[in-house]
Amino acid sequence: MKRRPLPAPASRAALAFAVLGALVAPACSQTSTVVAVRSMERPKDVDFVCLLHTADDHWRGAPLSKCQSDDASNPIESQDYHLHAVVTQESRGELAVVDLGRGPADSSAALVKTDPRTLGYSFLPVGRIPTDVAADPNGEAVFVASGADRRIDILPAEMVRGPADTFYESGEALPWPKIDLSVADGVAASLAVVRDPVIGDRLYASLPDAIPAPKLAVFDLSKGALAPTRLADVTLGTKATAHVGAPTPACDTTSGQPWWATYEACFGGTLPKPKAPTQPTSTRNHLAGIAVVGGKLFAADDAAPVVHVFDLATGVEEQQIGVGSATARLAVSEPVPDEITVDNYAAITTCETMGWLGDGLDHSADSAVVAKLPTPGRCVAHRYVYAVDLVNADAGNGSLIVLDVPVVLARDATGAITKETLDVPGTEMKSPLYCDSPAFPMRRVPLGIYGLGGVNGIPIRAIAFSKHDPPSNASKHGVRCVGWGYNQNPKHAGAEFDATVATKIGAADRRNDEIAWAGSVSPQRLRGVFGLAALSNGSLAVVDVDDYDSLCRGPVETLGAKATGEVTTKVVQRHHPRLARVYNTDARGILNVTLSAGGVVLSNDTTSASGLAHPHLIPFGTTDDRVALAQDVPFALTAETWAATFEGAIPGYVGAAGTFGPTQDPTGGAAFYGLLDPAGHYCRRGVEAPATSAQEATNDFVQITDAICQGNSCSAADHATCQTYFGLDTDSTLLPTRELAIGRTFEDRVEIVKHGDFDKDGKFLWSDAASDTAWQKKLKTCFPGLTRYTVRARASWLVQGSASGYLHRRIPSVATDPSALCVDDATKPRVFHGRAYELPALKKDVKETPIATDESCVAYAGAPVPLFVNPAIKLAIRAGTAPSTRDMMFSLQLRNIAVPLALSISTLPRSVKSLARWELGVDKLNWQQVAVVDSIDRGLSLFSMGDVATSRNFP
Amino acid sequence: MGFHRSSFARAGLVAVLASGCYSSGGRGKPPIDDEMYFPVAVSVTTSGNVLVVANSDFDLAYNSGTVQAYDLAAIDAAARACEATPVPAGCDGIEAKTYVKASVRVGAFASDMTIVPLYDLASGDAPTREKPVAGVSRALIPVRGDATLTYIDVRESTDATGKTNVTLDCYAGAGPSQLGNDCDANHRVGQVATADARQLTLEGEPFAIAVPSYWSCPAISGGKCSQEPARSNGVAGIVHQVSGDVSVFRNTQKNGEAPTLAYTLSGLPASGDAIAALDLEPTTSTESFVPRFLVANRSQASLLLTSYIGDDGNPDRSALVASSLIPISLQATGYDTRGILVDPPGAGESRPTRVFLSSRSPASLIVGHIDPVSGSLLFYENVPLPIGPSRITRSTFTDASGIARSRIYVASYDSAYVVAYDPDARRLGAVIKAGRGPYSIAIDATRKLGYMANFIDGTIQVIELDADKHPDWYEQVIFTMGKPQGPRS
Repeated sequence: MKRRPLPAPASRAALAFAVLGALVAPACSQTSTVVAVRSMERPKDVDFVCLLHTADDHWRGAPLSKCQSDDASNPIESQDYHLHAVVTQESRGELAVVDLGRGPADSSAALVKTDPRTLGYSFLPVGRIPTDVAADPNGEAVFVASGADRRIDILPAEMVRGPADTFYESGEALPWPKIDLSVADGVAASLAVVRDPVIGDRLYASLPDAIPAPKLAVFDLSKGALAPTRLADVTLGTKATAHVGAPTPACDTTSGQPWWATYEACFGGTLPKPKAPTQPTSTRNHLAGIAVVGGKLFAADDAAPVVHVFDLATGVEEQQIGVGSATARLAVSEPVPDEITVDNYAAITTCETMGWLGDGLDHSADSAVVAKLPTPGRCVAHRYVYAVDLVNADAGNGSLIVLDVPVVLARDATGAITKETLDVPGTEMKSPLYCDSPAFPMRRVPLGIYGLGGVNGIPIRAIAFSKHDPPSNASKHGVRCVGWGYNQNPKHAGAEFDATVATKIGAADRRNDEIAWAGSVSPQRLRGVFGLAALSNGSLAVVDVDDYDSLCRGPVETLGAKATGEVTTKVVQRHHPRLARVYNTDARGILNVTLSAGGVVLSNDTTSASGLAHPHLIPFGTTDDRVALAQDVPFALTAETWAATFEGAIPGYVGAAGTFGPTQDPTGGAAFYGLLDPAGHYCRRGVEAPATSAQEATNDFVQITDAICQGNSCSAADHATCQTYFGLDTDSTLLPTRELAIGRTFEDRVEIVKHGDFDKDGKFLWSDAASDTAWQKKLKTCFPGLTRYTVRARASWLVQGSASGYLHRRIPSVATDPSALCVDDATKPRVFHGRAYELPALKKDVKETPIATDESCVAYAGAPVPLFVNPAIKLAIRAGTAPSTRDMMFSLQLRNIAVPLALSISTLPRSVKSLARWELGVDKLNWQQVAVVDSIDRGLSLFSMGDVATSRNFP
Repeated sequence: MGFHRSSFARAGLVAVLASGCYSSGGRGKPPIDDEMYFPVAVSVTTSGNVLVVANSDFDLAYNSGTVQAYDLAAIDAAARACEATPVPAGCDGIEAKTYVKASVRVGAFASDMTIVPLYDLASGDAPTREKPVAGVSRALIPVRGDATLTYIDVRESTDATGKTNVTLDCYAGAGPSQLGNDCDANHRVGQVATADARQLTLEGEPFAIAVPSYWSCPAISGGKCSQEPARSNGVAGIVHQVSGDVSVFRNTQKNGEAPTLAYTLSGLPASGDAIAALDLEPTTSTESFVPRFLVANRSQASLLLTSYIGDDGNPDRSALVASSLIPISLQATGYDTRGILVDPPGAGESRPTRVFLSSRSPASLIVGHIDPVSGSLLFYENVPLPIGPSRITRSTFTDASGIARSRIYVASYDSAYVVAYDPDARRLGAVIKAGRGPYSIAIDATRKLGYMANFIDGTIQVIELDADKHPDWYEQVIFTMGKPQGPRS
């Protein structure tokens, strides 16, 4: 293909006008050229490169730090350095370039037109299906991996803005070098460029499809980024994988156990052991996302349940960290101290300001408050690895794994960090939400919309950390917000700092800076270290890691007069979703408690005779609240409507149909009379029926809802008999002869042990089903073949939440057996249930005794325990003087405004990257922004961390 | 000034949906029997020798649609010749009629097609799934124009010269190599109420069809099977586009017998769009096999799981029940699902059954699987696609290590691309430029070729799928069969 010459840079504007003129002028040739107008199309990954605009109108690559902004968002360099974003275009096999300008506030930022001969924007051609882009921090080149061609394109930095010929036929050579990978290598999935005095100048490429096993390819860049040489391959280690699951964490309760342990004790039981994490079993590895920090390369594995850690200095895989599920992507945080609280505030502040954080030394002799830390005398620093599991049926797909990696930070005499060492063998998997609610997964953080109620509903698509540390209204970096004055810490009777340390760090002055931050503290102000998770639905969720404002978020009584006055200090917790709003006194509660029947509201006023006839809810404490929150953790409550329905229908049986008759016993016993419905799912839908016949009066029951004699299957005489005995399906109240008490339950069948019947005097009674062959014959006659039915609770109230659903613990004994016997899930605590049982009606002139708010059981002779407690609410129902009637319903609304902060920043995000580049504790870029790549319509978006608002958008 | 066909096609779709008419074709001229015209579905017969193409007559330019049989051996020869030709462009524009072996006329607006094997089973005989009737396949075609399930038995034979002859048997007197006959009323099931026990007629707008490829009879007594669905020799589910209801047919694979409409499950979310059989492999259950269908619609961000509950005592009373609603929660909106594909593990693979959805809201391929522990369908990933994704197809070819690997192909109708997705590597493998309106893709496992029907162009593009023998052409268009139709006035 003969190429048209490209213009010199200085003549590009003139050429653009010429092209435009040519197109708008009358046609001079017989064939017109169709010019494709480019905008981003299925962009995937982004990185950043700094370019210097020279005096002769050329662009030259520069170290990333040359594009650094100062704290007022002004460029630190006087020369014309521009930060550029390079964005892969997956569908078209191109690289888009965005000139972000000289600083975060530069309004001239725009997409770059790399081929001046075309109208509109034009992008650089690279290998097909570009999967990853990595810019050299020294600014020499940009590397692009192809997911379809075995090549890594190396674009010289000075060429990324063009002018470049962007019209290439398939297979045609591009005008820049490339790395060719072999057939055995396969394609490169992820790239990382490292410029490190110890490790050297390196390009790392993960090769997940390499034969015979995945590996890292290491390229030497010491002779220039444009001439890499393959130095070595790092293969996966053979050492046994180690699981780092933390032991059950201690909770902030008197017993150290979670709150629901007291309810479990009501039944004489102990807290069930949570499911053990899955041990790594996969024999296949497939490397996924990577991250490089502190001389280590962390790699997710989307086939095996491990995170790989490679030591870059030695060039070996150091460890495979067992995490229980395959992971797709990961990120590593900046070092942070222990989670700060009112109690350890003085110690942590001392550690940070004295430069002791992570130094590995014992400072007990230097500071009494540091000596009192849980790690006496030592200022521990952590890096956190956030890995996103690909598939996790228990916790929800795409939820977050949190690994705590201790770090040691060596410092010079000035306090500057000179070296960082990661203690990879000391890694521990955290259980951040364990104490909040039994509904949360033990070792995962769900962030999707169902995150506040249990398993994750919306997977994380991309993950990153951002450390944002603006000193704009104070004089120092790293200043935290506090709500109390100097030496007025509510938890300290006297001076909170050691005297000598206080003098050294200028504690009194520093406190002025700290108090200054309290002025405009809000959930939208992100100061500190945060996890940023782009969800598959386009939202950007924020995870609190080390919020510098956390000590200003909570009750005034606890945090001082300058605090926000929120109802609890638990609004900001490490590894918890960041809440979107201030959690004040109106944050949560129970509203609109009503009793109704058939849509008519009933009185349950216990002071009147008519009210006493109906069941009522027993009040808690002295507040007359009829329903109480099971616990008061904002993250664990979901705003929803709860309903308790007397003898309510179990969800899932609308339209269900099955066959009555003798049925095989899947456990190998004798055949029994039962209902067979292969789509019944009696275990998973929570049908409950104790196995002992003594309790059949409270067993769930099948209610036949079908018409008799369907398909004209009966004679006239039979039809009359059927109608007399079973009534019609259209009757306003179905006859009790249509009710069949359930015995044993299996996933696809239930045993019918009793059936509703009439004696010779027409009085209702329960009859044995198995031995009553006449009744069996009658049932067969009246309901031949498939029969529609529903399943209801007996003599109890079925409790359901509009979001949480009907909770229960029933599961098939063998998950993969469609006919398995139903059993209780021994790993689930008893608060997972949906049945409330009535207390007996009050005797005449006996007044109701309120239940203590912290009560878990309510003493009452007889099982089951009548105080209903589930993960959200607790209530107790007192029977009325008249029996409760079927479908009578208590309903209530649970209000909770603790919704997570989720920014609607994209439609289908693929990548999140911070515009901060921290090197040994110093931000070398300091743009205070985060970039998000959306594959559908928004292209590249930048948003400010200071107010979580979108600042710029390049579609 | 003329309309572009694509604009016309959209306008036509709107007009048809708005009017709710079920035209069996325009009043105009008869169709050209050996040319494609708005091809909507392509499928390969069970012998692997014939490509069946359903043409929808979407703009009612003719008085009926057509169903054509194409000679795959001849197409294969042309493809290989093209690959050897230095200038591939020279192969484009090959006349479709060169390869047409037979053609019949059906109602307008055929909307989908599946091809199944047939079995010679008397009622109650034990099924012998491994022994289908040789030389015959059945094309099951939902036709919106006349609201029928039209079925055509594709009979293949070899004459004395070794030449393959094809009979599209859907009318009296059908014979090899015939063109231009109408499928008769007996082969348009659903119009006559007395033809089934429940006195049902097929609802309007039958849009997509799915057939479980597995059925068994665990309890055989005296060589007889009395259990559904084996007793019925297979079932098929059809989703209706406007109502979203789902109809189920019995006797779909019984040689010599017509399918019968068994049940219509109504009251479902409107705008049904896609259906797939969930159970494609044998189960170990000792009970009757319960065929299940996943149903998608354009109005809700969820899938419906339906189950065919056979009535062994009276198969005519068998029913389809709604088992569960599966939320599609991982998308920003997620309510416009256009295709479903179930991908069970192949030989040598130890993985769960995967399920793929093509969604237009936003344009993405949604990936999920059947959790082996809970049995639940869970979606865990969405991959961006070019705008307007439609149907999904998979190829399953055995790799060098003897493991059957799936590759997923999604046709993006609006943007004229077909995307290849590697579900094991979790990334796109290729983005293939198609003609206008790519919609349906058939995989030729014998020749490792793909056939992509371009609805608007009225062409079929032949795609190389053999990475080992033809790496330079892998996942590229080898040639286009038929000339793209230009704008029409």
